Amino acid sequence: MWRGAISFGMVAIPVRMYLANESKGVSFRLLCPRDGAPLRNKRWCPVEECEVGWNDAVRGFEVGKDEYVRIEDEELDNLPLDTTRTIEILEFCDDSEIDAGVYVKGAYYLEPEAVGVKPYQLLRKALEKTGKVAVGKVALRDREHLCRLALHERAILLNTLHWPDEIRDLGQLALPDAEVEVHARELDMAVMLVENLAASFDPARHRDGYRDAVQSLVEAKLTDRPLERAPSPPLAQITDLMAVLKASVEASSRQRQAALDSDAEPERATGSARRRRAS
Amino acid sequence: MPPTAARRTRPAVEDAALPLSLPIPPALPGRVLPEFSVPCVGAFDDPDFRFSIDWDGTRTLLFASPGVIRLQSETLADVSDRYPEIVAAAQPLANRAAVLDGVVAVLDPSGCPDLVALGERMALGATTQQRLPAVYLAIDLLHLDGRGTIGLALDRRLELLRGLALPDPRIQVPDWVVGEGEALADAAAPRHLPALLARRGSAHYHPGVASPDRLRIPLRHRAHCVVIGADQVLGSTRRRRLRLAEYQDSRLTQAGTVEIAETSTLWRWAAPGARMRSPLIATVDYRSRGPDGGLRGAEVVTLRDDIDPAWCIRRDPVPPPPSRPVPARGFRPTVLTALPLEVSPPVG
Repeated sequence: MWRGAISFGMVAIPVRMYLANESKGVSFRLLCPRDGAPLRNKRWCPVEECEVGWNDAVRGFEVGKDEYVRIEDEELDNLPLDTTRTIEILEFCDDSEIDAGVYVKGAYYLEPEAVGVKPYQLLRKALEKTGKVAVGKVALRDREHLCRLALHERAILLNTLHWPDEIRDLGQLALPDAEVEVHARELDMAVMLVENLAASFDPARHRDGYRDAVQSLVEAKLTDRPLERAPSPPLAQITDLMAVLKASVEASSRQRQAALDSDAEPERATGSARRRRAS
Repeated sequence: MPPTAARRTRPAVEDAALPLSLPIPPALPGRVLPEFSVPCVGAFDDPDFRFSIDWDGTRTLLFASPGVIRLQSETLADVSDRYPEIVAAAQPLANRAAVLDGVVAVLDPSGCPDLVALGERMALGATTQQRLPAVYLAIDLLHLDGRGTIGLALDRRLELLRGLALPDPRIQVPDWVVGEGEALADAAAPRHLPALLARRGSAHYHPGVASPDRLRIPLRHRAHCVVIGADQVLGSTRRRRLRLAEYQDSRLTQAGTVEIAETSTLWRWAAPGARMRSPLIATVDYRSRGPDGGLRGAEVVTLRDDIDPAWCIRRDPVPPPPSRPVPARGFRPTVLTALPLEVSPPVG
């Protein structure tokens, strides 16, 4: 999908870049309610009141209200950027320094061109030996991205990253502060819940249930058979909870009775001794 | 023929000639205000009292008579449409012409009522019944076989309630404990249950009154407040600050503020032009109360429209018996100020 070169120092490694993932989300087309025809979006010129074809439309950069600067494709191709056809590596760092949770946008595989196999392999080995990842810049789809190059099995993976000013500040959120009191018992219970569900991450175990359900719905409609409903989970019984509470109350009652009995025992013993002494 | 024999035979002939032989359905009361509770300082042991959990849910009266099953909220509104699964489950009760007092709840898998889930169910409506099924937790019986039972002692009413055959798990009768309130409080508090209900076994049912024979023992800091306004939070376009109030000495008094996200399901209640129903009540958990009684560290548990705002009262709890100077004949709320309800329009 993209051809260029990884560039660092005096080295240039010619590579092709492919998307590492594909979207399989459920998408719907909008239809006309009367005849069921799929609706189309039209590029409409409000001045001439006519449709404009894809190839006739030109790009415009909005500089003010209703004020645009026209930009041609050739002008974009000739932007004075080093990254239009290269992945320019700026530095190597530890992977843990990049907060992947918020920074990573997209994932792409890099494949070496025939002439770039050896330097590609060299870069792979160097990343493997140092345990570092490369941080660089690349221009994709009319904009420059920050990116990370890391090892992924036999390939080099490129992740596009958000620019730092694209990451929102946490100050906008009402997050709990240290003043919120957490009891040790509550924390123990939360830790226990986490440990009960602890497992090693195996992506194959997880499926997109919504997509499956929509697929079933479509198949059922195609074959005109009634849709199978997911069985409802059995309703919980409040009596189970009350049984636990009652058992706890009874245990507490037994303990209290035992404590009363043990308090009364020495008294009875003293009393009987006294009686014995009296007799 | 002796006259007595003639008197015996004549009515039988008249009965046979009557075109209708169906029994006349026993009459049910139209609407009934539920009995309310008096807040109590803490748990206590008393053999005269029956202790149960004050379940997290929406107080609801279930009316069942042949052909008509309906649910009535604390505000006397008909909420049958909100919980169609409970209406369906109550069909077997129709022949007994019964009125049950209880709570509609949504249970989590451990069988513990989940008020957040119920709030979501109330906000989104009955279409979510598959995902958030509601159950009815019956705690009292007010009418049976065409006769009112509110004049009977609580113990007798509970006996009759237990005697009802309720095969459907959507209508459940939670158990209670006799006398041992402190032990039940110790067992319930770690499970984050909101409060205990202590009811005197010999007491009648007092509709519409906070009865001294019905004490609510809180296990956590929770309050129901009237939402009197909603403002945009400065610096955040997606959060709103709800202004809360409670009745104190019969006057509506500011109780504090809580924030909710506009993305939350609960915002559907308060969003202007959406499903705004007046008045809106916020159930909040709070850390403590300030010197002026205002809420500190309050967080919204749910927003709702099923609570009568007149019962959003800030009131000192009574000490537990035997030294409790509770009102001898119960009390009713007195409202002297109108409800100023305003929601500012969204910005942008």
